[in-house]
Amino acid sequence: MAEEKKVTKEEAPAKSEQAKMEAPAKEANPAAEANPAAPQKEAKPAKPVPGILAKKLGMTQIFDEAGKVIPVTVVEAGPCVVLQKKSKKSDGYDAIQIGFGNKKKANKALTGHAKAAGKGVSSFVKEFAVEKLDAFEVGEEIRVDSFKNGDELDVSGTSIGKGFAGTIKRHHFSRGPMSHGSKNHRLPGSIGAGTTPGRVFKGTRMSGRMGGVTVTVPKVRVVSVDLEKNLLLLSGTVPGKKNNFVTLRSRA
Amino acid sequence: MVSPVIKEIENKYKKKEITAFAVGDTISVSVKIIEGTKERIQNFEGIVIARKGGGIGETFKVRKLVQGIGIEKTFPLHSDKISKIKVIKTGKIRRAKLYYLRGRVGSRATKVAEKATAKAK
Repeated sequence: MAEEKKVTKEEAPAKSEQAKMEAPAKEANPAAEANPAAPQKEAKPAKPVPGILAKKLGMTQIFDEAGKVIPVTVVEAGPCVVLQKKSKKSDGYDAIQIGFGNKKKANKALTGHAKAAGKGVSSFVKEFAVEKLDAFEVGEEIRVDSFKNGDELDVSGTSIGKGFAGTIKRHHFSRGPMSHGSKNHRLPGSIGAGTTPGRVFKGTRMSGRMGGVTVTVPKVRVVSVDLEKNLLLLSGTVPGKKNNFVTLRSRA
Repeated sequence: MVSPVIKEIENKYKKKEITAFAVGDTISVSVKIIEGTKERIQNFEGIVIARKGGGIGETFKVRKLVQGIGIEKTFPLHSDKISKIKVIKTGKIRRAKLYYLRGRVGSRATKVAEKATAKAK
């Protein structure tokens, strides 16, 4: 009986939360209509963008139409702003520089750089190579409406740092026997031959710093797009911990 | 701690009403099965031996004996494929996980003491 009671208790707050959730969603709709920029963008099909910047919010799972469980990463993507256009003429290559987030403390140099766009100083800035530079204007916003379900993206970000890691964790070496008198539990083993060559080859896998490097996960599928809250649900994992900035690049 | 944004997404996919059942109960799970274009419902009846996880990821394990061989199925609690859960018997148990049933043979393998209150109902 006690367990039954618990279940009902758990259900009760869940229901109230759902009610709360539906209410603001309805309020948000007229707000979006009031904003002149939003309907315009919905009217014309969003143009292809080279990518978008996002913040990882965490992971959960959802059910698809077939009833299958899909593990998803929730990212807050955009709105990003085009800060600068780099052209072949002036920089040697065509690219747009876009920014995401609000930097609370910005120095004069960054403030000056973001002035042209007029959308505040971004905390995360990246460049994306583009073929048609004319399609973008400085100060233009890039939003999640440029993406749709089923799109495939390359997601880059800084992986979780593991510190100084041994060979087992870092390179998937095998461990030694834990008993029968063995003292070789997690040692790396031989790192090379003897007098010939008389040195350790470059690139030999050993212990050292692991993680904390830029990792790109290719072909990450967009499962769902939330235009109101600027959310993207990406199938599977993306690099880094919660609140990690990630770069989503459209696949050519 | 789960962020409010993620909780909201989960709530969208969560079932609003779930039949209350606990570990030790004998339940019948109605599972939707799609064969080609036809959809039919298959019942899986057995003892709930575990409930795991929370939120949208919560699952439960049902064990039954088929021709003397133990069969266990793990169902996601919030799956749309589960159309109905019916509690047949309420069990009286002293463990959260009834994995000890796996080692049992014969009639003892399916026996969980019934709750006295269940009869009163």
